[in-house]
Amino acid sequence: MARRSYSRHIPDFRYVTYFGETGKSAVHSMNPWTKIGLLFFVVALVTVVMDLYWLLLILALAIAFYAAGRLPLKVLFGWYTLPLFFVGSLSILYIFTEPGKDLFRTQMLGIAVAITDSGVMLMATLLVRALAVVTFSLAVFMTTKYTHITIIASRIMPGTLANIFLLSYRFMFETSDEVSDVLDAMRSRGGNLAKGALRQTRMFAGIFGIAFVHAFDRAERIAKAMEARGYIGEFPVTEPLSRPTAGGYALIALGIASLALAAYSRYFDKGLFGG
Amino acid sequence: MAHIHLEDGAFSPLWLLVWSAIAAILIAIVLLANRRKEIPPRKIAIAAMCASVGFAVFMVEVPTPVGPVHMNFTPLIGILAGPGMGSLVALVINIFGAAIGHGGWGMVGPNSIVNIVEVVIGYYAFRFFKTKTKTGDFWSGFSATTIALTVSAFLVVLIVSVSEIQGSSLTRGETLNNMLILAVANIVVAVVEGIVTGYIVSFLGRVRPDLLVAETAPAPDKMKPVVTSGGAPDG
Amino acid sequence: MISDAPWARHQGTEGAIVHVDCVTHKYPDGTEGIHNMCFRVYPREIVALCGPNGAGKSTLIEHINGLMMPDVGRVRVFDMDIDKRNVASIRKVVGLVFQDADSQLFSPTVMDDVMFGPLNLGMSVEEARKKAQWALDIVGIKDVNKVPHYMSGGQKRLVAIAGVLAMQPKILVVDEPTGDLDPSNAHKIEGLLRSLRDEHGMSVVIALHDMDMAARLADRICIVKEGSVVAEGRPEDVLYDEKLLESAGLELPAVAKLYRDLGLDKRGKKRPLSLDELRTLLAE
Repeated sequence: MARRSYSRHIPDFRYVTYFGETGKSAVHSMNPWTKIGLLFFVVALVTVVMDLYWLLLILALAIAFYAAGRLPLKVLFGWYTLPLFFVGSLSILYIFTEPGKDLFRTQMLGIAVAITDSGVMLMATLLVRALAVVTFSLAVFMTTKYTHITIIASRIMPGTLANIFLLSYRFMFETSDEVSDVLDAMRSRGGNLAKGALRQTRMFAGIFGIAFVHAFDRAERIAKAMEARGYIGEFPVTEPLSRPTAGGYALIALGIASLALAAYSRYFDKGLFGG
Repeated sequence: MAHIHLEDGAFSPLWLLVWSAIAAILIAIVLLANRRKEIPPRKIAIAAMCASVGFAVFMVEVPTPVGPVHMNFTPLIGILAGPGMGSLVALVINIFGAAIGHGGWGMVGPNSIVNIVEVVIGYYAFRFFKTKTKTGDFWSGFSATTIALTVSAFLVVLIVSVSEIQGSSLTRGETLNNMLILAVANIVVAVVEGIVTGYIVSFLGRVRPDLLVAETAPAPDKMKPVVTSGGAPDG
Repeated sequence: MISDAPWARHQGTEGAIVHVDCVTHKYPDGTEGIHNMCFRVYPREIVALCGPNGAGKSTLIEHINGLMMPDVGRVRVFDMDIDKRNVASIRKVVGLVFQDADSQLFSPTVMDDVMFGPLNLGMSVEEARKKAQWALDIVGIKDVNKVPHYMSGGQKRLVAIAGVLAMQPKILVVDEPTGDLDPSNAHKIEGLLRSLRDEHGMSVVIALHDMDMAARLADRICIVKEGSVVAEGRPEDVLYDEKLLESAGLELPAVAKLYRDLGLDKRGKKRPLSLDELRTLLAE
């Protein structure tokens, strides 16, 4: 189990992997290729579908998928903070500038400012799209074993990129633990109470600096270990990963059909999914 | 590290494909350039550890006058890993981010373009300040980072203005106006990240000066046995 | 100094399988990691390199595996002078286990990691898996599909050793074999190293500053100080030389201290190398 997370608002890879390794549910048993395929379709669907109500349905299905994995919903809603803030920080401008019917009007510094219905709809649509993908993506990673993710990465990515990804994923846990340890040591000596922007900045710079130094030290140790064992350019991942079952293929077929329908609706018949 | 503050579905399918294709071309150039020569394990390991630590420190909330911010230090990664490997690191960090819901899978392409620009400018600007103008570590790191992130802030403006946000009926000009407001906020954060990076670089300059310019790091067999958790270097 | 140790039957360098001949290695900042270092390894022995932090032990062992090249002198392994062209061949016969086990386990599962070396040697997946399973059986690791991050320190150390054993080296070099392990895991590692010599015919080089372990395990002790081997001999000679050890920044092993404090040295009794031997001596 991950020792601790930095924040309730940002998913921690150690925590995510813990669920993938230890969880038991129908979603955990699903073939990883099927789940990755479905993730692709969710991303594609939220990109193609324009209607808010259909997007809300996709979000609801994503949450249902997450819940079917027996994953903690309270934690998920905490993790929504990041995408909400991320998207909100840009789209908040649109609620004032998007042309439409005024829902609320006021004066700020002598300038008339109005929140419009189209602006609110746009913001809502962007947020729902974001949350649907975030939910499904987290569900996939929290119900898939670390080994399977590495197998998929090694099959999909080109050699050098796969090597960097595999190594960095492998050592993400140690690096995160180290940064956690340093932060805890800082806090135990009153570090988070440090006053003054300059002092704070220097403190964090020291923490981040030491994290990079340790990372380089570790990189050198890893490189020597790789060389000592005759590294020839790849990290072989030899565990077998089966193909999707008939049910998995059926789900993928459903995904293809949904996407085709959505694309048809958007580009040819705007009545179906909005457009 | 600048990010386009949008997730999946913000861009139309066409623009998503365009930006993803551009990002794929940039990555392909890096991969092809490195394919011809054998990449030493040290370079792979450094790139991987930069990705790990870049993502790990991103999760730390740094309190600033403009509110808590999260930094990936992409210009610093460019300084430490070089423009080629640094570009791959930026892509890997974006993939990890997408996996946990930061940035969107479809936005990996556009965000990678922005971050590759930061990595490349960060590297070359730092090298320029250190070698040509002989500026000290802090000011070289600060200047390189601030310049890189300011340029990328305007690149974000360009990408979003050109692509427009699907579902919005604003013209490109009006989108540009909105984005310029965000660019101002990003530039303020760029200065903050520049200061933090400047301090990190001066710290590295005291502790591990060999790390500061990727291409001038000594060859592996000349490296001292490294400090392990036991304390003093053992060797 | 020595008369009847197994390796003493070799005259000088004859029979040695590793020759480190007057090697000097300088770092970029000008400091010498090792200076005029001379060192040998013989078949079927456990030789301990003892010295404080910074003495040059790790630098020396990285030369034996070809990770570092000498600035002066030469390193020979099985009659091959190590150079950049033959390092791949050298690494087939000299396996190196580093102090930090974590940094050596870079694959998603234990089995993948232990197969890494054999696959790099060109074996097929099936052959590599067999070799990996053999190595894992030797070290006693059963859960081969575990993610290395979730293993204990002792288990990681055993897997790191298995990862090198799977390449079937003739010489195993281990840096700080039991560094931060609890006594139970340390005992396991000691037993393993002994069995590699006795049952598998390997030569084992261990770099450490734990003098008690050196006493229990080694056939021969080399004291490393400031980049050179300053003394070499049988454990019962070297590890009882208090002045020598002090000058090298080391301490007498506990059994030697007890032997001295109990006045057994004055009675001409054979010097024990472990508490069990001391117990037997006292019982006689």
